[in-house]
Amino acid sequence: MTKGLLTTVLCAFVAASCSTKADCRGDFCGTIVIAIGGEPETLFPPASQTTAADAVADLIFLKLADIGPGMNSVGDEGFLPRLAESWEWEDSVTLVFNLNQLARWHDGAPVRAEDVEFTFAVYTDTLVASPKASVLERISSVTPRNNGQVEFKFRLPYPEQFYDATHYMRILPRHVLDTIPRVSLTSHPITRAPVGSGPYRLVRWRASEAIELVADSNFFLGRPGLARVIFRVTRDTESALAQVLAGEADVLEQLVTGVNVDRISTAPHLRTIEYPSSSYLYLQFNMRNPEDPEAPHPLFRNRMIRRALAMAVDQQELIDAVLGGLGDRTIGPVSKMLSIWNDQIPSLSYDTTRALELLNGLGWTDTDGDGYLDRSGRRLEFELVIPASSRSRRQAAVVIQDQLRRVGVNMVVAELELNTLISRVTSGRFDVFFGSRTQDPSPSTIREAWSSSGIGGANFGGYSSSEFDRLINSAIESQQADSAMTLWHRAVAHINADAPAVWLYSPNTVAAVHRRIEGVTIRPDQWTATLWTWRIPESRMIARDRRGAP
Amino acid sequence: MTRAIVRRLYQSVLVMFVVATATFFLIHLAPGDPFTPSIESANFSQEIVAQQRRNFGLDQPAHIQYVRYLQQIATGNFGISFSQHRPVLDVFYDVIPNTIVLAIAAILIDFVTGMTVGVFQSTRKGSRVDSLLSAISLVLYSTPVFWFGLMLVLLFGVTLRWLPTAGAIDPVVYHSLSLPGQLWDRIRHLILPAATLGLIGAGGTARFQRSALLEVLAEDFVRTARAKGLRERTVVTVHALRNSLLSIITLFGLSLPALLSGAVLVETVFSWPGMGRLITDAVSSRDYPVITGAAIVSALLVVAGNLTADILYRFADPRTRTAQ
Amino acid sequence: MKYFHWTPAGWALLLVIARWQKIAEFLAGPLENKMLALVVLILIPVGIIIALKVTAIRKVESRRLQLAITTLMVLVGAAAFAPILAPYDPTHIIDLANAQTLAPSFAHPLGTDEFSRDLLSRMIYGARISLSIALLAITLSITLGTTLGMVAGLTGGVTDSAIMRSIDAALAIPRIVLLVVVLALWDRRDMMTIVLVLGLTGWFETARLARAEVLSLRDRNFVVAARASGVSNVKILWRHLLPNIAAPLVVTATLGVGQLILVEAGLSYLGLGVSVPTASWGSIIRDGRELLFQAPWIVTIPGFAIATTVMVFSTIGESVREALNPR
Repeated sequence: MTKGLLTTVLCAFVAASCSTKADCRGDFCGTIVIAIGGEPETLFPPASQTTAADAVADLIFLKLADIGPGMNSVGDEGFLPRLAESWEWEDSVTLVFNLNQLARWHDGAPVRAEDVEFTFAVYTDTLVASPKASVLERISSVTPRNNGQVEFKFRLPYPEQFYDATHYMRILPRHVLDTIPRVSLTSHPITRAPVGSGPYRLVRWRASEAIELVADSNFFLGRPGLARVIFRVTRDTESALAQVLAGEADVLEQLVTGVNVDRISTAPHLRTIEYPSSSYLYLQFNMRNPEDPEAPHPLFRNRMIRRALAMAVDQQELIDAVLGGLGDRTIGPVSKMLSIWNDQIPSLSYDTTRALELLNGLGWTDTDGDGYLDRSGRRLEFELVIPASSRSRRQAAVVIQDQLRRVGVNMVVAELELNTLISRVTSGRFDVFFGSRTQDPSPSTIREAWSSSGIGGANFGGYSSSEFDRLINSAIESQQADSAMTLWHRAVAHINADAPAVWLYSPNTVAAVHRRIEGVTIRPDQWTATLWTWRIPESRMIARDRRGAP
Repeated sequence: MTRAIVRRLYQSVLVMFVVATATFFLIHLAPGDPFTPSIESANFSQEIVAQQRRNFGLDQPAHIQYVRYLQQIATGNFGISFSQHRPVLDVFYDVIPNTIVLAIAAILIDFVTGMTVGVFQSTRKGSRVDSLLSAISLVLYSTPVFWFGLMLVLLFGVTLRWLPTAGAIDPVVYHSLSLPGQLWDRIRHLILPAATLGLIGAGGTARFQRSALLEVLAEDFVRTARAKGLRERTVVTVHALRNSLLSIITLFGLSLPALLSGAVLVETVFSWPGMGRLITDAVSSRDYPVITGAAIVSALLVVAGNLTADILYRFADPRTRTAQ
Repeated sequence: MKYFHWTPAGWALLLVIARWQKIAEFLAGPLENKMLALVVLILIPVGIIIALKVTAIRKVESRRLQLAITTLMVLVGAAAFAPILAPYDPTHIIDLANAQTLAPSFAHPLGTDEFSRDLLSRMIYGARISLSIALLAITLSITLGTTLGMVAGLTGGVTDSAIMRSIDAALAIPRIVLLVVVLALWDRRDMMTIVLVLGLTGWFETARLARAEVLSLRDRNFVVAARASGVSNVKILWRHLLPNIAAPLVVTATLGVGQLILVEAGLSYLGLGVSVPTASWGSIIRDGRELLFQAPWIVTIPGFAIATTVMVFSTIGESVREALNPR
C-alpha cells in the first residue's frame, strides 16, 4: 500500500519534470545557456567594474553608437548607429546626435534626448563614483535640443571625440532613475532590475546561480535571433568546461589553455571560435627604489640590465608551456585586438648569448661558481610579485625563473594575495611585477600606462621618456590615420628599445560554441556585443529551445 | 521556569552584543582596503576609489563608524554590500533560506541515521555488527567534510551521472517546470550536499548515542525495569531511550555551530547558494558589511538553536521542570 | 611493555639507512627543517608520556590502540624526516610541459600535480605542516584554556562572568566562520600565523571544561584546607587543582588534535591555509579540486591521509577516556 503510493508520487514528479509549457515554434525561439566564471556585481552600467557585468549589461542597455568590427576609434568611421540614428558635426567641438524615433525603453516609454543628458550627469557625478568618469572629462556638456536631438560639447578638438562620446556610456532611463538620490543610486534595488532599451530584458537574477534574459521581440533594430539567454554562474573554468562538454551549457567565451581547446575539439556538438585578445602580459620593471621612491632602483635604472633581461626570456617557450601554444608573443604594450598591432616593429629578440655578454660587460660575472652572476659580492637577484590567484601566471613565473637561471640571474617569485599585490604595486614597493592588462579598443590607453603622465596612476613602474611621451602624444593627436599609425609604431619601437618591461604574450581567446547556433560573430572587445544577431534554425533546435520563454 | 528562560534570553542579547563588537573591530583592524583600483583594466583612478570610500563612510574615524554600525544593527540593517551594490539584508534574503533548507535536511539525515545506528549498536554491544558500525562511524567522524563531498561528486556526479553536483536548482529548466517538477528539481540538487553534511555528522551522533544509551542502560532504574520482567525492547525504547534523549538534545544544541561550519565548506564544494558560500566570496572581495553581517547572523542562528535546545531540555527533563 | 608493533618501525629504520646521503644533506640543510622535525619529534612523545602518566595506564592491551599508536609513529617519522624520505623537493617543478598531472607510476608513486610537482613528496611535507600546525595550536589552546578556565573558576565574580560571556560569544560564531573573519586580516599567512589563529580561537571549550572541574573541586576539603592555611591562589592552582583535572584535559587535547587537523584542512581548502607554494594536505585537495575529472587521485589521496590521522588521534583519545572511566 505505502509502496504503491510512493511509486505514484515519484511518477508524478518524473512526469512533471518532463512536461513543457507552451512550445515555441519558429526561427526566433532558441535558448542559449552561457557559462560564466564570475557573477556580475551589478547591472547598473555606471558602477560596473568587471567584464562579466559589462557582458550582461550590454545586452540590456544600448549606447548611442557602437564601435565597428574594424575597431577604429579615430573619428566616426565605422561606428554603427544604435540609439542614435545619425549624427553631424556642427563644428570641431560640437557633435549632435539624432535619436532613433523608434527606440523604446523596456517599459514602453520612448527614448528621449533628456535620457542622454541624464546619463552623462550620472556617469560624471562624484556621488556615483563611476570608474568611467575620468574618461568623460573632455566632454564639457550634454544638452537636449528637442526630444530627438542631443548636443555634445567638447573642451577641445581631438581625434577620439566620437569614441569618447559613445563608447563608455550606456544610456539610462531618466524617468525610472530620476527620483532616486544619486548617492544611493548604485545600491538601489532598481540596479538589479534594470530597465534598458537593448535587445534583451532581464527576467530574473538568481544570486550566484543564473541571470535570465528574454528577447524584446519589438526591438527597434530588428528582432533578436535568440528568445532566451541564460548566463549560468560557475565556480571556475573547469566546471564551466564540464557543463559545455555535457551539453548543459552552449557557450564558454574563454577556454584559456590549449588542453581545454583539445578537449572541446573532441566533442562533436561543439566548435571553437578564435578571436583576437584584448589583453597582454608583461614583466614590469620598477624604475624607483622600492624602499625609497625618490631614489632610482639599484638594478633597473640601468637600461642595459633591462635589455639583457628582456633578451633572456624566451616568449615562445612560455607560450608553449603555459598556454599550450595558444598565444602570440607581443611586441610592445599592444594586445592583438588593437589596430596598431604589428609584429614587424623592431623589438629585442630572444638571445641568451647577447644577454650574457651585456651583463658581463656591466661587471656581472659568476666569480664564486655558484651558477649565479655577482658583482662586488652581491648576487644578481630580484623579486617578482605575482597574484596567487592567477594559475597561468604562477606557471609562467616558474618557466621564466628557469630561463633567467640559465643566464645566471636569480629571480625569486613571491605569490601575493590580490589585495596585498595591488597595494604594493600601486605604491611602488616591488622590483618586478607580473602584470596583465586588458585594453580598450583605443590605443590611447597605452599613454596612461606607460608615459610619464601616468606616473602616480597606472604607470606603476615609473618609466619616463620624453621621446616616448612626445611620440605617443602626437600619435593620439594625429588626425590622419596613416601618420597616426607610423607614429604609434615609432612609439612602440622606442619603448621596446628602452625595455621598461619584458613583453610576454597576448593569449589567444578561443570560445566554445554549440554547433546548432548560427551567425556567430564575436567582437573582440566585448564578446556579447553582437550576440543578439546569433540564431538557432528551427530544424536544429533541441528540447530547451522549444521550451520558450516562460 | 519562565524566569530562567528570560534570563537565558538576556544572556543571549549580551552574547550578540559581544559578537557584533568583536567582529566590527576584527574587521576594521584588517590592513587591506576593500576598495582597491583595478590594476589590470584600462580605467585606473585613485580619486574614484577615494570617492567610493567616502560614499560608504569609511573615511570616518573608527569610533564614529562603530556607533553608526551599532545603530544600524539594532534596527536590523547591516549596511550595503561593497561587492554586490545592494543592501546586505537583501543579499541575506537570497541566501539564508538555502542554508536553512540545507541545514534542516542535514540535521534530519544526521540525527535519524545517527540515533538509529546508535540505538541498534547499544542493543548489540560487543557483537560483530557493533564493531563494524563503530568503525564506520569513526571513519565518517574523522573524514574532512569537504573531501567527502568531493568524493560524492566524483562518484554520483561524474562517474554515475545520477545527480547534479552544483547549485540549488537547474536555472535553465526550473522556471518552466510545474510545481511538483520544481520540487523534484530542488530535491535532486539537495541530495548530495545534505547527504555529505548529514552523514559526516551522523558518524559523531551515532557514537554519542551509543555511549549515552549504554550509560543509561547501566543505571539502576533500567535494572529495576528489567527486573520487573519488562520486555527488553520496552526497556530500551521507553525507559532508556527517553533518558538518553536529554543528552541528544544537548548534543543538538552543541552541534549547530559545527553544522554551520560544515555548511561553509559543503556549500563551497557544491556551489550551494547559501550563507557559507557568501562568506567565502565576501572574504576574497573584502566585503566587510557582508562578513560582519554573516558572522552576526550565524551567531544568531546558533544562539537561537541553543535557546531552543535549552527550552526543549527543560520540557523533556522533569527534574528541571519542577525544580526551577 | 608493548605500546605498538615494532615491524613497521623496523622498515622505517631500514628506509632511513638506505637514504643516508639525504640524511647528511638534511643535517647540513636549513635550520627550519630541523626545527620542524624537532617540534614533531618532541611534542608527540612528550604528549604520550604525559598521557600515560596522568592516566596511569601501564599496559596497552587493546589491539586497536596498538594499531593507532603504530600508525601515529609512522606518520610522525614521515613528518619529522620529510627531507630525507621525500624523493623530490615538494615545490620543485619537474617539467611543466611534459609532466603535468601524471597518473601514479613507478617514478611518481602518487603521480604529479598540475605544476608537475611530485605528489608523494608534497604529501610527506604536507604531513609535517598539518601535524606541526595541529600540535602547536593544541598546545597553545590547551594552555590558554586551562589557565583562563581555572582562573575564572577559582576567582569567580566579575572576572568569571567576563571570561564566560566572552566564551559564550566566541562559541556562538561557528568555528570556520570565526576563522574566516580573523584570517581575512592576514595577507601573507605563514605557519606561525595559522598556529596562532587556530590556538587563539580553540581554547574556549577547554576553558569551560577546566572551569567546571575547578568549580567541582573548589569546595573540597583539600582545597579549603590549603586556602585556610594561607596558600596563594597560584599555588593552589598549580599544586592542587591542575593534577586533579589533568586527565580530562589530556583526553580533550588528544581529540582536539584530530579536530584541528580537520579544521586546518578545511581552511586550506578555502584558500585560507598556509600561503602557496607550501603544501598542506588541505591545500593539495584545493589544488586538485579543479582537476577532479582528469586527475582524481590528486584529491583522493590526501583525504585518506587526513582521515587516517584524525582516526588515530580519535582512537587514542577515546581509549584513554575509556581507561579513565571504565564502564
